Parts: sequence; structure tokens; C-alpha cells
Amino acid sequence: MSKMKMSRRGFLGVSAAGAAGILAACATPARPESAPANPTATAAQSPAAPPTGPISLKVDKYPQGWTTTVNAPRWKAPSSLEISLAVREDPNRNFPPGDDALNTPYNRLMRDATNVFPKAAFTYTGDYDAKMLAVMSGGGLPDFVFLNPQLYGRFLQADALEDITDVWNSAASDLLKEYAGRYDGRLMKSVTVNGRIMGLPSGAKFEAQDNMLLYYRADILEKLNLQPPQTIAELEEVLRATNKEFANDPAWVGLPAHRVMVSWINSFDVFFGPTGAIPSVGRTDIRIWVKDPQNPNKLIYGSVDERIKPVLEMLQRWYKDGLIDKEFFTRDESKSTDPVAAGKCAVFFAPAWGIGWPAGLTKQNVPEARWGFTLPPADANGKRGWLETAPSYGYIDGFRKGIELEKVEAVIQVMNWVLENVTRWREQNIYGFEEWDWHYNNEAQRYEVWNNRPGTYLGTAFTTSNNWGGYYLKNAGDFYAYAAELAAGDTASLNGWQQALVEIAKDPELGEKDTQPVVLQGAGKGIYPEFFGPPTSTMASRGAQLDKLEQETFTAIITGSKTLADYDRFVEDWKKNGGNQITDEVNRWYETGETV
Amino acid sequence: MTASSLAQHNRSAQAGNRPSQNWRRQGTSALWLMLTPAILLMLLFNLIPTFGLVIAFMDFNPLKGFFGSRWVGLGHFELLFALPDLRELMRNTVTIAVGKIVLGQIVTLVFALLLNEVYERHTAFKRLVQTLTSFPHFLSWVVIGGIMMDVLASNGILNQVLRSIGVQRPPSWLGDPSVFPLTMILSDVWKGFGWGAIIFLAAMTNVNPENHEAAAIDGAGRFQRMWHVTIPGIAPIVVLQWVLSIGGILNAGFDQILFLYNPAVYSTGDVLDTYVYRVGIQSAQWSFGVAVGAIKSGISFVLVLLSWYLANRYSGWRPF
Repeated sequence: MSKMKMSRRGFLGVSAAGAAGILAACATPARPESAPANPTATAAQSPAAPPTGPISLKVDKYPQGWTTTVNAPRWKAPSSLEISLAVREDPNRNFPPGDDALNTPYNRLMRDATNVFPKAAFTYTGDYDAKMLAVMSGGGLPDFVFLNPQLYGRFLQADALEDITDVWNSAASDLLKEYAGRYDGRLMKSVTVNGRIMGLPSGAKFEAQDNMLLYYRADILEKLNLQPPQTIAELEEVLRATNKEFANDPAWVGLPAHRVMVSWINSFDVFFGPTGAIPSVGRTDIRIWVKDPQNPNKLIYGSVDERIKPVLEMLQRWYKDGLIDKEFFTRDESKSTDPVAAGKCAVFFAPAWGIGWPAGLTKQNVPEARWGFTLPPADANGKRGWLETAPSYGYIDGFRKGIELEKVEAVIQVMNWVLENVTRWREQNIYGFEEWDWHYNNEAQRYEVWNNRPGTYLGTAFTTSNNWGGYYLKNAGDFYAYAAELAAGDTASLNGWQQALVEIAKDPELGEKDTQPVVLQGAGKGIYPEFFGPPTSTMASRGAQLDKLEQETFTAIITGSKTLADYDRFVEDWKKNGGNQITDEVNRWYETGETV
Repeated sequence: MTASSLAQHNRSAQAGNRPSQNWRRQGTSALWLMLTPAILLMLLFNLIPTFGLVIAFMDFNPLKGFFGSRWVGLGHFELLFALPDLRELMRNTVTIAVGKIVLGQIVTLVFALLLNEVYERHTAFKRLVQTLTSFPHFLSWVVIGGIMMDVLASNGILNQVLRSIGVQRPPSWLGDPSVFPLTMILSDVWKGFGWGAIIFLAAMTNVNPENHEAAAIDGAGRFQRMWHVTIPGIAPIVVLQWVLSIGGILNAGFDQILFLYNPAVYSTGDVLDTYVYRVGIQSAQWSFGVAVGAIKSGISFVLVLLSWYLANRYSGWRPF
């Protein structure tokens, strides 16, 4: 893969890309399938209730072609319905002649089956937030808007989101409601404001993909006669031993790290996690609130929870001793992975996909490199902990105020349709339908069927920006287990999709088929952020000032230019300058569900 | 306006032969026409947006617009003055900007003086030096920032060189709050001195050669002539440069700092502009960001008036 820098979600596609190639090669013509025996949908029927038999999509414009077979939806719009959204333009994207970001095989299938088709309200390249803000002030909002927590708060304040409670209640299928009700109802709670549903929750993250693993260079550890570290103390030992071994290499970094500290790669959440609290330092999307150990009925902001202090002390010592990348504060997440690819570190933290990127790149520079992986290390009490990444809070898909309600229904009906099909993934040839898809031609040129950026696709767009497919994969964390099961049995009678899974299971190279089961051993045992409502009013008005204070203090303590006494001062300043007010607002939400 | 035309302008003004009188006689419509694009530009991008300052007095929400957002009076200013940030930001901004102005002017002047003394027969060398030193001016900080990150890293080329010549503990150029402002000043001076020298070199060509000849006949050496002839000859331009830079005291170099700073050096490296960007744009606290920007604009306006007054007083130059 020539593209080194990818979005977090982009990583997810890497493994899918491999699968796509295999799958396309193995695709067989569609087999007729009967409709599910127990239809789960209770959705409002449209006047012209269409048949629900199998329909298939022959994708022939793409170099390798493939076939997707799904059941036709139970709902169809009476007439053609266009729904506008923001479309990402990416110069690296490549479409066959006539296709573009919205005019894709899946969206055409959706149009034929449901009469719904996407329309670009505006396009953007890099900064989605900035563009959305400009559009906000200039009018012309799309029908369907993807919002991060900050934008979500702004939209709510401006009363710019449509209340979809009634449409949701009548149009969402039981299956969809069941999925949306997962995670103890947190997902729906994140979009519920004072009892009303203000959007569709985003589940764009799932544990098997996003929780951290510890990766270690098995070849180096074997040479130094070290075991893969299972505790933080053992990890320190490994860092010291490898630093000593590579003392003459000025580019050796020890433990790769970056300025955000708690994030999607090389994250320190694994060190804070065992204490029961994780700071949000540097993050701009979610704020991590945990149960207050002094008062279990209250929430406390992770960064001002005293329990994290010993970890800061440890990190300060590690930095002083050169165990942590000396330049971590200048690096962003992507940059922090450079030492992995360059073979300049022996351990790093990354989610399950880390085995492909960046670990997969090390061999280019160090041919003998072999990576192993394990759950993040435990503290002295044997406790492990990390930030539970799923579901992702505060990211929502909303509808602009004043939208025609039939458009809202259309989106929900498409979600019903997609979810009903993707939950039958074991039997059907649905590849690509529920998620994104990449294909390569013989010159290794990449064609993208759609980009996995929220708001860029429809049909599956509605579902993938929420990533319901993600739930299903997590749920079936057994995706790879199923592949292994198939590979062990009689493969002669399998359909193309199943044969593709067998190919993945047999792949001798390490991949997510190997790492995901390890992540799932620990999934759910980490720390769930307890606050997932929209940002409170004081968060919106003081957030940036408090973030500065926090990030500056944490960074300076680790680099040694501030002492641990400064942490106590930070806690005081944080409380004094708006923190107490935010704590009250968050706890009000926690107790009553009321948004301030 | 180049230095030579400035000097010409000054002489004309002193002689009481104000060029504007000639222009008036010839009719000014053509001049106004030429001025129109600049005026339009000012109107569009400087004057009209000033209206946006009202954002500082409301809880601005783009969806509600100027007329729908809630008025909060001086609320954002009160918060700003209550936070420790403002004092720190002011101190950082002024420290870095003044450092850049002072060191920049001195280095530029010395460089121009030295280059001016290169013998005529070495023109090729002189031009080569001028080209090489001017070159960084044309690169954006995005490019230079990326290179500097590597060069100035703890184990970067610079520190490796320093270690090889016996410096035991070379500084962390980008991570040590006490060193960071110096890094900003030095790198900015490095980037700009070659280009800045052009104005001084132009002014030096305007120094009457007879003065140099007379001084040489009186037995003055090269350094003496530099000190007693060249420098006094370009003094008005030097003063003008200093005075005009006063207006920029609150401009510490937004793009440079944005690309090179990090949380470890916020205490000495975060300046007004980067703060406004982070708070106002990235965190969508528009009103608070504008309040900070408004304070900066207010102070800058006073400084510009001051520099205008001083420029008039010490070098007789008035832009209007």
C-alpha cells in the first residue's frame, strides 16, 4: 500500500482490501435465497409494498467484478426521493468511468430498490468541520448531517436539528431498535435530549477494531532472552533492556508516543486504565468521565481524578530515563508510528489492525523483524485497563431542522433494509454491502467503491456512517472464528463469500484474523466513559481554555519541566475556571438525563 | 516603495516641492483608477469584516447569525481578563516579536554592510550569496517547519553536530520552554535576513560616492568609512525600518509558531494568534476568539499610530 498516512477508519479498510481482492476472484453468480423465515421488521409499510425476494447486484464496471446478493427491502418510497449530504472529495480516490463518490453500484442498487438516492449538498476535501461551520453560517445545510460532539452541541444550541422521535418510533424495525439499544442503552441516550431523539447514534467504533494491544518485536525479545511483557513492570524491563541494546542508535526511541497521549494509536490509556480513571488530555472529541471513587453516584472528570497521579509520576520517570520517545510532544498520531516502520522501537500500542499498519511495514527496513502481540500490561495488582472504544459517543447523524419527515423515514428504512441483510452475512454473498470496499485492477491501481467517510455515501451510507455493520462484526467477533471453522470443514460446497473467508483463514501472514480474537479476550473489561450526552454549555464556553491548561500541564510534567505538585495546582485551577460548573452539569445529566 | 525612491521623496519633501502638487495639476483620475483595486481589497477584506467584531459581545452561533445570537455584553472580556492566559500570551507575543525585530534588524544591517563592502570584481560571489540568503524567504513555513522539526529534534542534525564538538547536553530546541522563543527568533531571522538586506543595500547605493572618496583621501579605512559614511548615509532608512516594525510588535509569526509549537512549550510559545486559532476556530468558541483578536487589534492600532508619529518625526516620512 503506497499510502502511508491514513485516517483511522482508513486502517479498517486495509484488511477489507485484501479480502475484497480474494472475494472478487471467488465471486460466484448469485444463488436465489428465500426471504428470512421470521421477518423482524415491523416498519410502516409504504403504499406500494414491494416484494422482498432476493435481488442481486452484478458489479461489472470494476476490474475484478463481483456479485452481491441481498433481499429486496420491505419498503419503497412512492416516488423518487433525493437526500442531500456532504460529500468528501479525495484526489486519491479512483472510480471507473461514469462513477463517482455517490454514483456507486450500491447506491444504484438502493435507488432501484427503494427510490432513494443521495445528492451532494456540498463537497469538502480536508477540513469537514470548517466547511460545515461555513455552511452553517451561510445557510443551505444538507438534509443529513454528520456531527462530531462539538458541532452536535452547536446545532442543539441553535435549535438546528429536527426532532425525529416519532419517525424513529414508527419506522425503525425491531431489529434496528435492538441494535440501537445495545451497550446498556448508551447509544440512544447519546442522541436523546430531554427525552427527545435528536439524531441517529454513531457506532463508528467497535472493540475488536479499536481497543489497544501491545505489540512487541519477538525477534529482539528472543535475542535478549526476554518474555513478552505481561505487566507494566515487565514492560519497563523490556524498554530498559532494548534501550541498552540499541544505545548506539541515535534514532532508537524506546516507547513511541505522541502529544495527544490518549488516542487511537500509541495511546497511554493502557497505563492509566488499571487505576480506574483515564485522562482526556489532548483529545478534542470525547471527554472521559468516570465514576467518582469518593461518591459512586457521581461522575468525575478523569483528568482531575487523583488516581492517575502515580501514572504521571511513572511516565515522568520513564521520560527522564529515555524510555519514552524524547520528541513525543512534537508528534501527531501518524508521525508517532514512524519508529515502528523504521524498526526503531521494540514495543508499541495499537488496535488490532496495527498488525498490518504500521507493523507490516517494519520488514521493509528490517527483514528479520517479527512482531508479536498481547493484551496491554497489568499493573502491580494484576489489573489491566484501557479505554473501551465502543460505542463512540457524541458522534451523531442528524437531520436539519425543517426537513420533510418522509426523508427521515427513508433513511431509517434504508437502515432497516441494510441491517436485516448484513445480519445474515453467514449465508449470503453480501460482501461490500454493509461496509466500504476497495478493488484493485491488474496494475494495482485502486478503485474505491465508496469512501468510508461519514456522510459520503448513502444507502449503505446511512448505515455505514453509523456503522451498523461494525456492530455486527463486533457482535460476530466470531467473524474470523467462523472463517476458521469453515476452513476446517468441507470447503467444496461453500459459496463464493464463504470461500473467500476460508482464504483469509488460511493466510499464513499474521493479520487481524490473529489479533482480533486477542482483543476480544479483554473487550468490555476496560473503562467506559460514563458521560455521553451532548457537550454542556460550560464545556462549550470554557472547553478550549481548560484543554490548554490540561495538555500543557500533563506534557510538562512528563517532560520534567513541571513537578507533580503542579498536577495538584492544575486540579485546583481546572475546578476554579469552570470545571466545577461542568462537573455539576455532567452530574445533572447523569442523574436526570437533562441536558444543560 | 524602494529605499531610493523613499530618499528621493524625502529630499523632495524637504525642498518644499511636494510631488502631490504636480499630480494635482495633471489631474488625478488615472491615479484614483490605479488605486481602486487596492481600496476594494481593503474594503472587502479589512474594513467590512471589522463589523464582525460584534461577535465578541455575543454568544455567537453561525446558525442564528449576527441578529439571532444572544448578547452577552463584556462577558467574554471579563472571562479573558480573569484567566491567567492573557498575561502569558501578551508576554510570549511581545518577547518573540521584539526578539525578532531587534535581532532581525541588527543581523540584516550587519549582513548588508558586509555584503556592500565586497569588491566590485567579485560580483558573481556577491550575487550568489544574495541569492542563497534570500531563498528561504520564498519558502513557506509549512515546508521549513517540516525540515526544522527534523533538524532541531533532540537527536537531530544540529544536536548531533553540537555533541560532536563537545557540547555535553545540547538543548531541546522545540521542547524546552526556556529555549523555544530563542528557536523561533533565530529561525525567523535566518529565514528573513537575506531578503531584508535588499532594502539596506538599495539605500547604500544611494549614499553619495563623493563622501566615500573624501573619507578615503582623509585616510579613513574601510571600517571607518562604514561607520562614518555608510551608516550615517542610510540612517533615515534604518530608523524608518525600526519605527515601522513597531506596529508589528503583536505579530509574533502565526504560521511559524503554529507549525513548530507543541503543548510542552505553551507557557512560552503560545502567542495571541495561535491561541485565537485554537480557541476560536478549532474549538468553535468564536466569540471568545474574537474577543482576544479584538484586544490585539486595539493595541496594534495604537502601535501603528505611534510608529506613524515616530516615522514622521525621525525620518520625515509620512505615508499620508
